[in-house]
Amino acid sequence: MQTKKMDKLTLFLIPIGVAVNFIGGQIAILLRLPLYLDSIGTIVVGALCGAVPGVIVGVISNVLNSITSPVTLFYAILSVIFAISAAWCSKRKVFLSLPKTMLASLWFAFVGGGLGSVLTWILFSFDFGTITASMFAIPLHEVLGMPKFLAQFVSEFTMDLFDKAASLVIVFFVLKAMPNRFLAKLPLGDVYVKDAE
Amino acid sequence: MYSDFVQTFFSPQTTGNWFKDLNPLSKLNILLVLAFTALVAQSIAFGVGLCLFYYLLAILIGELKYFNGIFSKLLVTIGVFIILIRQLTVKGTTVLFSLFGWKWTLEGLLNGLQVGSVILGFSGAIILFYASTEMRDLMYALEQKGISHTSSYVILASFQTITDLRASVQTIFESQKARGIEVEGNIFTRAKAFFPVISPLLLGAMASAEEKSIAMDARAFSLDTHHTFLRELRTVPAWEKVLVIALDLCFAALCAAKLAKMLGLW
Repeated sequence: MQTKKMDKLTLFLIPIGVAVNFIGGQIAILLRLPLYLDSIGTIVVGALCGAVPGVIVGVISNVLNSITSPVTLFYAILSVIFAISAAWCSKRKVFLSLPKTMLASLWFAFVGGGLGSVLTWILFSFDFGTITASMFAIPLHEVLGMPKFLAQFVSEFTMDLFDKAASLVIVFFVLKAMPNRFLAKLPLGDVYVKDAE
Repeated sequence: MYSDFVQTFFSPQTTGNWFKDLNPLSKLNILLVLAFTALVAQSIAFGVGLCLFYYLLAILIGELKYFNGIFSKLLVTIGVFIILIRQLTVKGTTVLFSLFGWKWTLEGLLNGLQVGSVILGFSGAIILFYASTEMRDLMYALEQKGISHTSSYVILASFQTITDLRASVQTIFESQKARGIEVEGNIFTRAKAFFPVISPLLLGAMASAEEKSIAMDARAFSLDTHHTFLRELRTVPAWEKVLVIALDLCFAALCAAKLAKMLGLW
């Protein structure tokens, strides 16, 4: 881990990012929302501190998730792409505008749902895998006659689109609500510093 | 008496169980080899045998309750579920029996059993690793291999932060409910309640990171010097090294054999 070159505040934000990934899912369960919301921490840290801290948050989250669900280890690559994408979007000021943020959710859903479905496809011997996606993928295949992989891809992408759109809207408002005093100390914080009225 | 107490921190803190007392990196190596062997072997008999072996090992190390708690959930959510959906998606011709008109085929069953046993064979090893290893020991072992103490801090602090934020989220949730935020109703009403909960949680946690950074620096966290530890790992015996190397070689031989078979060389 390249923690040596990081400033202290970024370093201490990493455990918080990991915890937020877990807690996001917990709040979704408390509110009975059909969403995962488990990558908010990765995206926020990626957007504020850059790709490397975001990647660390994502990978640690997946490793810790593997305590109860070891298969999640294979999906760590998705968290890596989320973090890199968040840092890239942040540098290009995507998270300053809500429409642009919503547009970015298409890419994040493509990574989470699209690439995720490819991983599931390989992991489960080139057939349907996870429970939730299969509930939609099997009818798409059986009733509409869609090829198996396409059915898996479409169902996972659609499910992830709602999840990532909600996650990115939350990230947008959280970044907006952050005080300048705090933003000024973070590597990419200057993007979000608000002008004094 | 005081001296005895201090001395306990200088000697290795062992559990008395041969497997639990293996070096965390040796355990990681052994269990990763078993996990990936399940993926490479792609065999029902091997996968099922491996799962039974994990149960036996869990009993021997006194972690059956922990292991079974997680593994049995996976057995239902992955194992049983895969067998069920493969009956829907794998078109077979050898009908085994009919369940209210739903014909169960041998081909679907074998496919489901194979995928299920491979995934469970992989997962069991990972669960067993966490069951038999304390995270602080793993991080200490990694530090001895040259990983920085900040990496250890990040991993170990993540566990603590999850616990802390879990407590905070309940408080914030109840407070927002008391303030009149609607957390019941249709999906949009409930979704609107997400922001008033996550926002103070995230902003509060980030503010605490700033305070923690100052507090840790005041305690010489950034000082680049030799660190002392309150835990000691036992010296790795020769038999443990031999066991790890032998397992690695067996795994390499299995991969080579599989590759040769795929290429038609064997």
